[in-house]
Amino acid sequence: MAKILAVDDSASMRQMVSFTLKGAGHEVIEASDGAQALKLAEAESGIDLVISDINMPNMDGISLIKHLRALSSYKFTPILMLTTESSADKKNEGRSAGATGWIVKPFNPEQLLATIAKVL
Amino acid sequence: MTIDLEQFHQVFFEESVEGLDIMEAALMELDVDALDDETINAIFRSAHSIKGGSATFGFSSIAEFTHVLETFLDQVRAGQRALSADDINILLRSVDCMREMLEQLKSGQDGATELAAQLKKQFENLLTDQTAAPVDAPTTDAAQATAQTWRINFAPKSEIFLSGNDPLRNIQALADLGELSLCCAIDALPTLSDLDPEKSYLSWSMSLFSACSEDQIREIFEWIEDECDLDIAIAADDEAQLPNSHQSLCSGTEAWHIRFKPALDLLRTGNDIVRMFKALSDFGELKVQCDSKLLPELQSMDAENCYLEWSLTLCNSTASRSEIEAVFEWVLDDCALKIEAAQGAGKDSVEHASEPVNKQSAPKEKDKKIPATSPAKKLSGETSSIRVGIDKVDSLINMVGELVITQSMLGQLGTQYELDRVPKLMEGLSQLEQNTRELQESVMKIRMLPISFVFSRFPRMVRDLGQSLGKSVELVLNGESTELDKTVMEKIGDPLVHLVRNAVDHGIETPAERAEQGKDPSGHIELNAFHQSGNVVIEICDDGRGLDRSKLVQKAIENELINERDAEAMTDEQVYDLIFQPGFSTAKEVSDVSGRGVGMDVVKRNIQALNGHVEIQSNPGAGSKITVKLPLTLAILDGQLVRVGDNTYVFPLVSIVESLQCQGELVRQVGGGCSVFKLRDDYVPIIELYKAFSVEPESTSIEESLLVVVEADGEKYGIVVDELLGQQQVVIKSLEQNYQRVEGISGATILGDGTVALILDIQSIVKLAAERLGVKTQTLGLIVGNQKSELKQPHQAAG
Repeated sequence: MAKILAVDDSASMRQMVSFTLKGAGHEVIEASDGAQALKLAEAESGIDLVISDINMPNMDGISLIKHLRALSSYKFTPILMLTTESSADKKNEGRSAGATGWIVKPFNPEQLLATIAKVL
Repeated sequence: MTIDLEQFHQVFFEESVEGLDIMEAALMELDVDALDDETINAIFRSAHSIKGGSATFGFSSIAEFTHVLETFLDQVRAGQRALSADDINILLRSVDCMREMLEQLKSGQDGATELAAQLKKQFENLLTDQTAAPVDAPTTDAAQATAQTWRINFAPKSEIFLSGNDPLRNIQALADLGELSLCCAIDALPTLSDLDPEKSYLSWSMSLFSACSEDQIREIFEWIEDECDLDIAIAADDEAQLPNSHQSLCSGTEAWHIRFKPALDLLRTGNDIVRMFKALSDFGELKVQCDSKLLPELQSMDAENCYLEWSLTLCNSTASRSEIEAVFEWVLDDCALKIEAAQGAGKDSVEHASEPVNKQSAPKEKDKKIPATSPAKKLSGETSSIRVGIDKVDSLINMVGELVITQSMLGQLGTQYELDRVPKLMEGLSQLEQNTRELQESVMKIRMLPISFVFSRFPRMVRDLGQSLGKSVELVLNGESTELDKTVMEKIGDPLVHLVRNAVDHGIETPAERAEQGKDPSGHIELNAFHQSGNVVIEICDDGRGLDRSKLVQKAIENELINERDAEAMTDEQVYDLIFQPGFSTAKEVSDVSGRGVGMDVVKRNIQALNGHVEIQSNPGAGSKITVKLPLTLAILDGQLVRVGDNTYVFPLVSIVESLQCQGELVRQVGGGCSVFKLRDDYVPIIELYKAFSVEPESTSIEESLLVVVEADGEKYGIVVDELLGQQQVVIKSLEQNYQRVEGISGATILGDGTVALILDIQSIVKLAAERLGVKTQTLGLIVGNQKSELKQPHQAAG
């Protein structure tokens, strides 16, 4: 199945996302902030999907998306924003940074799986 | 796939509590006049994470609360709102409130507290005060009077998606302004093979019934001005209704009528309605009509929800029902969908049955989504956990590795044992001893936490106290990284709170008093923590008024703790020590801060229960210093083993001053049946352990026994034992948990030979002895002290 990079500074969220995805047979790599995620993304190859929180310390999700898009191997990789941000601004900001889509918290595991099925 | 979300709750609670700590600390350091972005961000992030987690895990009470909090903080973050000192107070109370809510949730309750409701209201008021006025106006009273119909033609350029903009959002924003009906023109749609999915081919003609101004409409399109053709005009009466008559829109034969009513939260699933419509338009000519009658009032509108519904007409199409259904496949559970063959098209009508979704009631929607947790059900297995640095775990694993090597070496020796291998065996055993000791140290280290866990609550507390008492107090924390056993940490929290509270309430004077005495109007309290010879020392220093000896003495005499003759003989230290007596308070009035003097004796008892001790130094007018000494850990004790008759007892090594052989001529009897022993220039009361525990000693003659001189409460006592055995570290086992509480004994331990030895609680042995002699509890030292002074008189010494 797919190899997914899950980025969230909240351990409980990360665990839930990771558990859900693993349960669906995906391989999951976890990172707790943008900087760590970027490092992992550079080191790993063959990541099919990135799911990232927006509000994080060190490097936020928007910057992460921008950085990822600048890497040739992530030019076309789907990146979903995982966020409670309800303002359209943030989403647009994410979009223009190159996000593929978003999943708004709260979501349940079924919703998460349904959403990633659209991009995988 | 069903996943039990409960398994993530513990982590959620832990990270939320941590988040609240961060938030509180950040709030404390926030300067309202110069807001620091990073600090504001940290505060926002904490609230934001708690909101996200709580909503996901179904804790609606805290999710709703953090939602308003987050909105408020978001405005601050965006620079739209200044923070006042009052706001900080409310935010700090919110932190308390969320802590309380989390506690409730942990125990399986719903977490809805009165304080939460009250604070939420306050935030909502704050929010409406500033934001409602300009936004509300168009939708309410004044609006209806001048409402008119706007005719808007909106044709985005094909590259609009590349800028990250979504025409649907613009249209939704328009719908927010009033009643919107629209018609989508798909003339520009190319054939499927030529269609570039990254391009937009649609345009819309809309009519908006609203009291808004043209500027308000233009503002919605502000970001894409250059990326679209936009016409805005006031409609003539006759064309106002144009988009409503969809029959006239279709140029060809109608094939399907589709009624599509998305659930409120459809957008949250990541589905894009425009994308679905685009897929439909691949089947033929699509006419779109939007119904915005379910749009709620602006105040109750949630931007995350979709309030619109659509009537679609598909013309010139040969698409089958299943093809159309496939387009809506992902959202079938999130919408009411009715697909109807157009009249004359000869197809039957089918309704998708997942009925309506929700009639504008966002809260109801939330209720539905959240798995109902029965309030009666307590969360099982609530265990506390600690975070351990990976280096500590690594060193532990390393040591276990060494232990395994030693074990296999000894095992080998055991199977092929020969006498000449004894040195090898001894070597193995000493290695085992070393491994065990190191392992023990490492395990102990895992339980060690920095004292900042306790200290971190003080800045907030001192600030709040200072405010409520009208005092300005500066708090300095030193040695926050000093490590202390987790159990000790948990038990020292409350006593420290009490001591700090007292320092603020009784120690620090009001700014006016301070100024009068030429002091800095704002008081200083310093908390120090450091290690000192196997103990952790915590000092609480203030530069307040200090203790007043005469007041203390007077109060003690009133309470009949001492008499006037005692008072004169007492040293300052002894007088200060009086504040640790039960029911002793010199505060003239009972305040809600420090209470009515039930505190200090409890503080002292708690500290003693931890094998620690507390002393107070004071300098009238210049402040006081309270020193609390605590053992590093409660699990292991350095003990001195002694024998009385057939029983072995353990003295905590820290309490022993010296041990000596008694000489009969140095023992004196004083009043009340108490004997004292002349120890150099001092007299110490003698306590016979065999009397205290009613055991049979080897000898009752004091000369044949040994005297262990111990210190308790700053006084020395001689405890009579038969024999001194070795010194060793003993592992403390609780007597209370395994048997019951026994006066004079603080615990038990198992010795190398498997026998049980009791660990002595010196303070309570002194108390026992005092009771046996019929003197007032805890004043044995005092009374003996007075007798001592009498003993020192020549005529007494002679007799």
